[in-house]
Amino acid sequence: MTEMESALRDHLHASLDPLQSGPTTTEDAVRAGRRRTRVRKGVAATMAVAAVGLGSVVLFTSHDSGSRSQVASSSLGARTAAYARNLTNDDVGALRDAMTASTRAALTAELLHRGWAEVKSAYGEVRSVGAAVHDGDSPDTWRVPVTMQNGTVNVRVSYNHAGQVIGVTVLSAGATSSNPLLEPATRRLVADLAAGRYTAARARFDDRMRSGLPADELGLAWRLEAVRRHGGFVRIASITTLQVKGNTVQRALCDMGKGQMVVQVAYDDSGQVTGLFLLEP
Amino acid sequence: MDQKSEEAFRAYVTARSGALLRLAVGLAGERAKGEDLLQSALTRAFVSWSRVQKADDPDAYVRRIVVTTHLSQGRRKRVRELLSFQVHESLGHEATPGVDDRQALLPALRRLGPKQRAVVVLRYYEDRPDEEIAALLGCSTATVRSQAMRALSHLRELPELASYRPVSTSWELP
Repeated sequence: MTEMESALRDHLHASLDPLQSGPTTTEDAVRAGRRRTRVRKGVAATMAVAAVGLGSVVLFTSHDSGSRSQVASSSLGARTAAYARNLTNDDVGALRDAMTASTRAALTAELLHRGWAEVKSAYGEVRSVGAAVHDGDSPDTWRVPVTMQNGTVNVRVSYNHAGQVIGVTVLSAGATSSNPLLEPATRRLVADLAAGRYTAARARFDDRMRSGLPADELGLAWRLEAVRRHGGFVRIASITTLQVKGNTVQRALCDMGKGQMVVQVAYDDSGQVTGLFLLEP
Repeated sequence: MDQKSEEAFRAYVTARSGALLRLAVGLAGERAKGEDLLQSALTRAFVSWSRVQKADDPDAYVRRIVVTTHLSQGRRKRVRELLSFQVHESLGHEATPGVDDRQALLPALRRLGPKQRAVVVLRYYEDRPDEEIAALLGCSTATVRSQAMRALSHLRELPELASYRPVSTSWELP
């Protein structure tokens, strides 16, 4: 074994040896395994988590790799309805218990409570909670319409193959950007990428982004991940703005030659770009 | 699954979940994704527990499920992350304090493809022989060796391992 290989081995042990599994691993495994045995086929979904206030998305969004649900559909619908009822009562315990570890880590109880509080401040008190229906776009996603004093919102829950929750969305139709300053910046960034102006696209990158993502790598990623997969850029269909613990994240849904994709841009307080993602819609 | 089998499954997971988690985190490249990977793999193991129990080496069978689940997730992955710093930090991932942050290796591993990552973890963390890795990954030992070499050349860029880069020699004409 070379010195390099020995060093790698030492680093791996230093990184991994301290890790211990949590006490819930065994019960989670049994529960997920039992669910899996009751199951049927479903379809792939991506994860989205957001809450909406006054027509604009205000909370959070994330993605997970798509996987096929094999949990009986009726059970997912019933669970989604229960989660929606709980959420309207500010109870997120069962919902978080059913999440994957990474979703639970990203979606803290505080974040969910705060998001729901913003929805209530925008839409008023809950009048009624409807029945769960399959979401047309994402068959592993169920939504429950919640009628509120000033309108209706949809609580959507996405599941993975084991029936674990990988996303929660609270949204209304027609959500639009609430940040007039950053929206032009996002449009300009997408336009620069589409036109091959990769150096210009990096104009608002912060120092870490600038050093970590040179113009040629940015161009390569755009050509491979956007153009080759989705076709040439056509137009920005919509931009939504999300607040993620102090950062502003803008999601530009782009019409491409072969479908749609999302360019997600994260900004810090000074408006510099701190993160850039090319995502499935 | 009958009660006796379920108890056996519980006992197995309780005894081995730590080691399996370390393998899963190494394969996934981060704690939270490793936990998800382990959860998916254990769900598969639960469903096929009767086969696991009948295997000559049940633990090897489950570890194989972890690796194949990792590879299949890699194939399904549809989201391309370009680069992100602040947003990920601010999402509040509940990684073990100090561990993920202290080590630059796990993030570097995420830059490798799923198969290369599996080779690195099985070869250098679990100390598995190439023949066993090849059987686990369903490829030849030559492929294991070539994947390992490619992975090493990527990882040489890591600052912590930079001092182990081979020294290049140059000659100047007088």
